[in-house]
Amino acid sequence: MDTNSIYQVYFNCKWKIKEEVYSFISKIVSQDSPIAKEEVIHQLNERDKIGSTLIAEHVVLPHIESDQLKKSQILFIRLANPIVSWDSQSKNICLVIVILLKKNESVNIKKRISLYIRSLADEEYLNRLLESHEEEDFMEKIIEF
Amino acid sequence: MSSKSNYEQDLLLFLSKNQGFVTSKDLLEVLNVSQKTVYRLINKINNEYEDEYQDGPLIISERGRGYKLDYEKFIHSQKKNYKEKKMQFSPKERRKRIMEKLLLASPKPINVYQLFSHYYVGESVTFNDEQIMSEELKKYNLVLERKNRTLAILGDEVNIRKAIKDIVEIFHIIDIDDLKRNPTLNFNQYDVLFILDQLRKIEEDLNITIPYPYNVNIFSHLYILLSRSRKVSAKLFTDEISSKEMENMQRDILYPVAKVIVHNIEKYLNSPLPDIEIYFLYQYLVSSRMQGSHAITSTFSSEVIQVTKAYMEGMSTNLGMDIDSQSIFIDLANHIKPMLNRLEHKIRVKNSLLSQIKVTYEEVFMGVMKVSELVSEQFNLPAINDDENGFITLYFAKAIETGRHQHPIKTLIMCTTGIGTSELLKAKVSKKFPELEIVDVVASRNTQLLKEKYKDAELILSTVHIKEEVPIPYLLVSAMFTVDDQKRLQGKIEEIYHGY
Repeated sequence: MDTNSIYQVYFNCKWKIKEEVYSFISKIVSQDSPIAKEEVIHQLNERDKIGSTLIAEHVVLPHIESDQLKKSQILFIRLANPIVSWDSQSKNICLVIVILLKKNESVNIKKRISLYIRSLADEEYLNRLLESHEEEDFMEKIIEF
Repeated sequence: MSSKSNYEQDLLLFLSKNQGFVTSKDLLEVLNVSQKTVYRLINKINNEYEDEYQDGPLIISERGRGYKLDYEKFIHSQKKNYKEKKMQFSPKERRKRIMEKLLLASPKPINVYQLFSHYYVGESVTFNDEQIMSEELKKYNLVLERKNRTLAILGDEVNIRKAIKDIVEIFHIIDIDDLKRNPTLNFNQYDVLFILDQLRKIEEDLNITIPYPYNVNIFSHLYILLSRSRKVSAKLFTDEISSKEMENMQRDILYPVAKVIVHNIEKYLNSPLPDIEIYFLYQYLVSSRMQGSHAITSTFSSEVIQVTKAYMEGMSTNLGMDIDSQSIFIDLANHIKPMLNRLEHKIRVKNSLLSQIKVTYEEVFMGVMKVSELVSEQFNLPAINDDENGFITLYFAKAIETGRHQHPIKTLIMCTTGIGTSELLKAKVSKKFPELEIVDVVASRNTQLLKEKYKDAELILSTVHIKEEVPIPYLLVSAMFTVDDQKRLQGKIEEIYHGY
């Protein structure tokens, strides 16, 4: 996988609750800085408090903007088994798409990210993502956009 | 007007408008009849349908869910309805046909045997039919006279023609081109072509087009004129008009046109017609809505202006929305002008779309009815009938429908970062709600700055709760933008447009 790409895919993940997923996210983005780690988790939780990030059945879209981030990324976390109870409103989550936005990001990158998010409005596209059960296939689907 | 067949019509229309099941409670409220009647109506419709098509019921009923129209069958049967019907007549149809014959021959008497023998009915039925027809004719100030085993209809020519037009159903067609193509209508083909030719001539002479239903109206008038003139000598017409009205007419640019057409008809019939025919035709022309250079006027008499304004004001309060655009004023005034003339001369334009208008724009129609009552009181006009109310309804319905798309609502979309769910929401919203103009996608951090930065924003759609007071109307929706969210947004949009 090209580690410089803004898209990162994690396939076949075996977590059972939201907290595990958030802890994983914080680990991969904060590069062993405990302050950053805490900050990311804190922000993700804060966002959840003010409104659900469920964007379609089985899909959530947690998103934060933080100065603790080194670079902006979109993470795709494909769960091996659905997380039955993500939060009080969201059940059976199979796919987590995380938007991580670096503070004061360049307009160029921002545009790329927002362009991608808009494509998620297409239910067909989301369904194709949900139905891809092989990592390579999944990657292709993302690139295809 | 509330005959049984009308209930059937209304019921079918209502069902056809609703895609899913409709409860019988809804039906009895809409039709304003009892539960039993609804049940009987549906049975009757289904039985009649089954008799003709033998492929199951037209209206499906399901316990606990209500009734539903089999739309495909419905469309199919609607089309077939125009096809020839069997040569069997219900008592109603029989009376209609006999009355038609008598009206066309009036004031000449016709032998009773000759009238009824075709229908194989006895003495008592004949007597009964006479009573009913007599009642019906009273509405037109006409008298059915029986003398020496003959019947005759007596009365003013204007009233006779009005009765003919109402009774003869073929004049209720919508598409004038249908006359040429549809042989089942049973018109005299030569007469039809001749009259259509005259209509075209009127349009050419005045450089206008005469839209539906006025073209059908003039057509019926001329067709009846031909039929009447063949059967009855013109000398028998007794109607008179004042010399003042004659003078007024002769100053109008429509007068020479009417004169030419009547002259053409005289040639076609090969017999002279009285001058009053010019006056009759002239009244129809004045009472028609015309489209074209001659027709588009923006100068109206003060009465027209006042009546039009009364309608617009009345409907504004009635619907709780502003109706003040110049375009509806001119459109409506161009309709009101000939309408006032129709009212004065008791010319009735049949509105074939009336039942559909009533169902589709129920609220608007009720409003127009109320305003019409006030208007006729205020301006001392004859009662404005439902056909006219139906036409007026369409002008306001149009204003409402177009008003929805006139000014897009300036909308901000908001979430925490201004890039996550809000971007997604923006894409979804702009696809489904073209009436919203999405000005920007913003972050929820600086709500206080919003009012300054986006002065004319009318709505904020947010995927997050906004804690502080926001001076702009706002609606919280989920990032999924569910059907429920869409409904609430629709409600909000209407709130903004109508201001309540």
